[in-house]
Amino acid sequence: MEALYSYLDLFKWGLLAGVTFALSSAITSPFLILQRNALFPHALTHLLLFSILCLSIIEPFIPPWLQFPFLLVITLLIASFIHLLTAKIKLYEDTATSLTTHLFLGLALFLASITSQYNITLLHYLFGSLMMIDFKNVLEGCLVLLATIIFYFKYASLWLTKSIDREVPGLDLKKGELLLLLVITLQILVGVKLMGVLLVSAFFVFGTSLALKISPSFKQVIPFTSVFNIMAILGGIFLSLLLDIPFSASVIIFMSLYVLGLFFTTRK
Amino acid sequence: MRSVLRIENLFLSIDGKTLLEDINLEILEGDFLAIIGPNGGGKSTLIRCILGFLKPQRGNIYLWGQSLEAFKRWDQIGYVPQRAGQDLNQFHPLSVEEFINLPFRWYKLKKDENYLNFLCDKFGIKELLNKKLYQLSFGQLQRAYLVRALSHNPKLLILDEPSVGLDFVTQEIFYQILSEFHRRKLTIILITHETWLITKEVNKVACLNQKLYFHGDHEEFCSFQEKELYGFRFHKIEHKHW
Repeated sequence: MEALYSYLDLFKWGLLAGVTFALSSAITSPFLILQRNALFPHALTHLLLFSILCLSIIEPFIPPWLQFPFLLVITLLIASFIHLLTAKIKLYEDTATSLTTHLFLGLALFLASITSQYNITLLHYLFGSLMMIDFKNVLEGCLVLLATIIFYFKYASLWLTKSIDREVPGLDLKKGELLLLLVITLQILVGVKLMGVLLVSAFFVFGTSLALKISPSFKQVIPFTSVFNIMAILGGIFLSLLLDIPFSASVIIFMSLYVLGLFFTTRK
Repeated sequence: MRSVLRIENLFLSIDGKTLLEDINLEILEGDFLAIIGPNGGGKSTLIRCILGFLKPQRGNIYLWGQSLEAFKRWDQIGYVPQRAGQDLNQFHPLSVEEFINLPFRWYKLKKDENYLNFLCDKFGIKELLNKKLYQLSFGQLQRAYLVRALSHNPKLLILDEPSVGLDFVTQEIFYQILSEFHRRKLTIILITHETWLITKEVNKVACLNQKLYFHGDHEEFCSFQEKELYGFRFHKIEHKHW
């Protein structure tokens, strides 16, 4: 029992930040999947890695409070490169996303090697760490959750409509889509420390896919996804302690149950 | 009669290709206008201009006397797009009931349950309300789209080839119901390239192939030579049994 308390004390901030991230991603991810844009968070994480490495170079010159906005702005600027490729060169969106992702991942690794950051710190960013989370991260997570809820109540009907209609009189579906991507960028920024650049986007796909499959109507999708995502956080912590493996890996192992669930819920 | 839609000297080109040229058109309250023309003639493009999805280079569009830029009452319009619901995947959990209620969320309107029940009854989708949208057949889906377009009691209904893919019997029922709503003073714009659908219910016809070749009432249309429009002459059969 004492050991459990000491463990709890060790990862209490990680657990709280995980719950806020699980809830906020549960609110937006169904819309993302229904708009057939499930790979966007994954692409975003690669762009974020580039932003993080840029930040590491200028970190000594900017105040700490400016770091989060800096990451947000740089990541959004790079993400707009996808839009540029689709609008100007008329590439398919997935082609433009793939091009941008690989381009900036390559640039990120180049930056890492020339700034001698190709080390254990980079590994922390790639795969995350429960122990690295502090109170400040929990606060950021709560703020992003609050922003997500506000945006949800204001724009959810646009997000949902975008998944079935291309155009509706009087509705700016494009604006809705951009705001959804903005909220998801914020979520990725707070989730990346926990799950790492490479695995954070899992929270946008695994539980959501199962929830979409088993929900009798749309209104149950977000509650189901929230439960699945929180179960993944708790299950991940449990497996991580039990098997002594990294938290992000144990979350994915736990979430593989959801993939099995998809097979069982699909009737022939 | 009050003007519902007025189009003046509309011109639209995209990537250097002229899609609409010198379009002048007026629709009054209670009109049932059919816009006909060949594929690629600009029928859907015209509708997309009217609904503000495309911005023409020249010309003006007025809805109920207000310019399109100033127009805010989009809840007065019901719209069924071309190939509605064709992209819907088998993963979408939206139920038919949630689908037909969407306009109340879009336009922040209060739901009239009695009217909605009447619509569902009329279009035969009452038993389908708990089904998921993707589980509907094409004909049922078209009816669900029509119920959604009418659910918030609009004054103008715009239909972009709503009967494509429906069998003859379903088409006939579809247009019978549409005629009923027209008789209740609903203004309707119907895009079609099935000229046999131009029935006595339709009181105005517009023939479009980049330019407006004809804009007049049903009787005038029956004597109109479509050779100019389609490039060949064909027989028009008038349906009197509706």
